[in-house]
Amino acid sequence: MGQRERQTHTPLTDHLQSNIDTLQSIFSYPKNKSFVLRELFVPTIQRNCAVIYLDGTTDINAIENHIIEPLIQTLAAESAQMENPEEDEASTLINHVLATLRITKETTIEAVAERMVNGFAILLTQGSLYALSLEATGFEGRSVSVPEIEQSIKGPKEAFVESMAVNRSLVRKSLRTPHLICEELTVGQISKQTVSVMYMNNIADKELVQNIKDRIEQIKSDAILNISILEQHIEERPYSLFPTVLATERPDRACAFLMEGHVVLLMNNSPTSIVTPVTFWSLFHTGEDQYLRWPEGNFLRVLRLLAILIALFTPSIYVAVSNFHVEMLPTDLMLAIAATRERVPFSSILEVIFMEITFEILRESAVRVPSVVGPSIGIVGTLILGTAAVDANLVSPILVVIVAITGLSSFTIPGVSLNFAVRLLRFCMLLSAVMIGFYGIALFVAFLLAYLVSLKSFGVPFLSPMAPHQPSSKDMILRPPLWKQWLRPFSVSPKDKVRTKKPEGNN
Amino acid sequence: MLKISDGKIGIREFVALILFAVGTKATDTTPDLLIFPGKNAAWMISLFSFLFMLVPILLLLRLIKKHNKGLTDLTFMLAGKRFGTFIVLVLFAIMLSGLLITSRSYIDIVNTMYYQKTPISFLYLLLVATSCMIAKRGFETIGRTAWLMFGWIHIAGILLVIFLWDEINWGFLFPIAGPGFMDIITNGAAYSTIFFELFLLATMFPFIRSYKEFRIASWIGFVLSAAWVTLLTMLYTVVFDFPPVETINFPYHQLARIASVGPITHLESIFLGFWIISAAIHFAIILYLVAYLFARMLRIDEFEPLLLPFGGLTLFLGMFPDNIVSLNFYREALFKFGSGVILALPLLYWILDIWKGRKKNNAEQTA
Repeated sequence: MGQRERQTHTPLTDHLQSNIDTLQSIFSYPKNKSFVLRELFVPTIQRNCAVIYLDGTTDINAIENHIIEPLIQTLAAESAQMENPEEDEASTLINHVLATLRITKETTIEAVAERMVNGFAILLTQGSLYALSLEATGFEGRSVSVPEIEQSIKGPKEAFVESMAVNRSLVRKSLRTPHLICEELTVGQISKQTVSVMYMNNIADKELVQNIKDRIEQIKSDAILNISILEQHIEERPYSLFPTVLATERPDRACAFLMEGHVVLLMNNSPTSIVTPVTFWSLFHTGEDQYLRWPEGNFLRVLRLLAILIALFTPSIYVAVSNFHVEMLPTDLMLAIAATRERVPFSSILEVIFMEITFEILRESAVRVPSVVGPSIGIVGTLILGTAAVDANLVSPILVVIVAITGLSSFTIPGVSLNFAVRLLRFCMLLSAVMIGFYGIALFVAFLLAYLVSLKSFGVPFLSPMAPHQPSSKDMILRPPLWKQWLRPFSVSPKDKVRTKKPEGNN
Repeated sequence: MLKISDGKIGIREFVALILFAVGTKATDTTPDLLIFPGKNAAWMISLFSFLFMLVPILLLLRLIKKHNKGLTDLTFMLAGKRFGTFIVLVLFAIMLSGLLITSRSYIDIVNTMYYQKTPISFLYLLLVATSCMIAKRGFETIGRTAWLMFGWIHIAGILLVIFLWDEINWGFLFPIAGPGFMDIITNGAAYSTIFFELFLLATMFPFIRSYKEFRIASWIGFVLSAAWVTLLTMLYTVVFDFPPVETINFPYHQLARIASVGPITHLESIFLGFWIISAAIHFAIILYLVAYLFARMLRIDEFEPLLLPFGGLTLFLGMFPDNIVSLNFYREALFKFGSGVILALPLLYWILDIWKGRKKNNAEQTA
């Protein structure tokens, strides 16, 4: 451990060539073609200098126009007029010559190397004990496009992209306030990546922010390539079916969470942001619920809750009813089911498990299949597995209906994590129903509730503000009209608990 | 910021706890016990028990307020170390035997009414295991889970009444006093144990945010659970009539069988579901209390590791009784003994408190 953590600090020397040699050996120069060196004479300070950068991390135009051109073309005579005897060479360059915005002085080889991999150009000067790192970042990336997972009808249609700078700008565009803080932390010991920790400093709880920052700083890993990996490093219960952070690709949702006192994390290479702490409700809601008018939004909420319940319980209720509580069904329906099952040689339990697994395979294949052959999946799924399986007496028609409604319902669950949680829980539920019908289901539900209640995300109970009850705007299963949502949820302990003044009048 | 997770519970959770600890009794074999002596006026027995319990609860609340201590600490303080240990031992014994007998009777209900072919041991194992797992997550979690189910249980109860509305005949309540008021009143005293868990939950006073919340929650929980026991016992009588109700072993489950809505005539499995969830929470509370009392008696600080052994013990000892008839016999005996204890204890504490206060005053005066 100690060996990996210990960072060596080699200071730069005042000899230009030796500094260049050291850097070249770090980047294995002749072999590594990314390393670009441009030596030049700078008339302003009458010294030999070298501009170094890594190909692919920088914007070449910026280097040519804002660094090399001014360095060569600014004449000594011009700057001599402005000369200030107290200035050293670097300050002269910074103050009178270089046209880049962000310039820092680096004194060690390691710091220089780190700057280079992050897209900075380095200016080394003969006889100077430090290097100047000049911002010229120019990584390639795609431009902002529409969200692909969290689509919406009425909301904004911008989604995060792989560039952290763009993502931050998307957030800033919506939240124009000096209170929006963006701190930067570095993770990864070999490949160092920056994590942006964004929060509202007048709303988010100080301890919460510190807790999250500590958690990120404690990560011991050689490289955290993107935010999905980071998410798994900072979550509290890695084995739990329920997520304790929320990933969203929508800047508007991230902003809504920021305004409630949550913390948003952004990273390069990640078209999603993660929001923490989260409660069950944040996973259950979508942005659309708030964008639509009150009756419409609540209609969607009720529909979604129903869909979650259907996705969770239908197969197990079918098994429980058909195996343990046959008397529950109206006689006609029972006879109808019995008639269709007459020629099926398997027990209903086997049937359900067979069909559920088939459906999961179908679903996964639809995600992985190259889009060119995509449509064939639909044909295979509907024709072969639906009609043909019934015709072949492998499953009964009612089961196809059950699996279809279960599958359809599970598609309405927003967010990948909650979706998976419900899909996996469905199998646990099925298992308890197979074992002992409603008795098993009820006991499992009791345990599940107790588990959900005890689950915490960064100290915030998962089902708060419902259990434990906390003052809030009651934006849980249903939502009140916007003007009644004047309280922030107390469960994340916002510093400023009130959004607006309590509305007056009849409420 | 972690103020909300300090391990303490508030009014809502405590009310829900009391409801699940006491109110659930309306759905097990307790009404059987009440109907036997109370005839068609059985519902009044629980009402009178409620009235009888008013004074002890008032005294207890007053003492808790004065000393700001939970029931067990109060016991040790007032009765001294040895006698206090004895009292806690008695409470623990009542609670443990209550746990054994009640849990077994729940399993007998499930076995007789729904799963005749399933071995009792398997049903029992599942119930105790679930309760253990819930209790293991801590008092806070039990309280919050109870609160989460609080509304749903009420919805289920009200739905049951609505589905049964056509079957109700209010005339079955008359003659109003049944076997006579004297019988009802004496039995009311004898069955005060219905509220034994309410009494024992006062042990958990240190886990409640403040005395005020404790007091309010205790009263709401007390009234609410008394109302549920009374209303459901009344419902059994007005639906089944007396004497048939006397021969029905598990009135709640028979009621659930009758309930129907439209073409679906058998809803008992839905009500079984809600009932099992409340049973799991009920036994989680009882199990937690038993382990806590045991630990307090022996002055052990860590009591959560005791939950599993007590769960195992329940399972083991609960398998001994042969059937529900012998269980009801034990249960009745336990009820009568327990009633004596909870009616007398607060009075005893109160006297002890006055006596100690005087002694202290005397000591101060002589000093």
